[in-house]
Amino acid sequence: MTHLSRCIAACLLVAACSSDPAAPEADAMVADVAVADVPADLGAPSDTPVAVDAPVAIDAPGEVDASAPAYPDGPYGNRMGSVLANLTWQGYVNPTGEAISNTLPYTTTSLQALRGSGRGYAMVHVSEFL
Amino acid sequence: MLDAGGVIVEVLASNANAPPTRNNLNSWITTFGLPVTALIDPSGVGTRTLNTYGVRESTFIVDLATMVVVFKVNGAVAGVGPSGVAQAIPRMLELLGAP
Repeated sequence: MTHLSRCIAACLLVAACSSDPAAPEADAMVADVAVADVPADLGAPSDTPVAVDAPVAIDAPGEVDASAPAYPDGPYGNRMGSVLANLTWQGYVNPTGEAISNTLPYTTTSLQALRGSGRGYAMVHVSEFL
Repeated sequence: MLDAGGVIVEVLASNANAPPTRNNLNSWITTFGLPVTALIDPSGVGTRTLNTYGVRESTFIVDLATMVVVFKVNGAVAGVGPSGVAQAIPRMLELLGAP
């Protein structure tokens, strides 16, 4: 995939994240600053133990990079400086950006699995279906 | 970002505060033509990502060596103003040493 197409992919993600056709235009931005000391916007403590997933049918099993180091121990949190908890998800793993994601197998994965070799950085975006 | 070694993870964490479905995820991807990893919570765990990571439009940059959050921003939940991703991309590129 070319650099240009990857830039386009990032731009599409930005568009998805910023689009909210159902939202009233008068609503203001809730928070726009990354601050380590801001309390978490959580309904539950961020270091709550993660529940075990129920088994479900998937198209393909998830894989963990064998070169990935063990996931760091907690306590976990969602603030700057915290260790982000390792959650398990289902969906479409698309590390190369070479296709629209739902053309790929539906699978189970986790933050640990997506971590790869443990080099570099991940951008994790939490969105809501509207 | 991908070329520079970055990982992008889009988690559709809720549908009106309820767990989103696979159909919701497919619709989300199709609507925006998303070519990035796109995920939902497994069935049976509720809105676990929302409860653990925080409200939607939370965008984290995580050091993959330590899994420590090195940057966090909450974007425009109402669709007005810059998204969290838009605000995080410059920092991500900087961390990755990408132009």
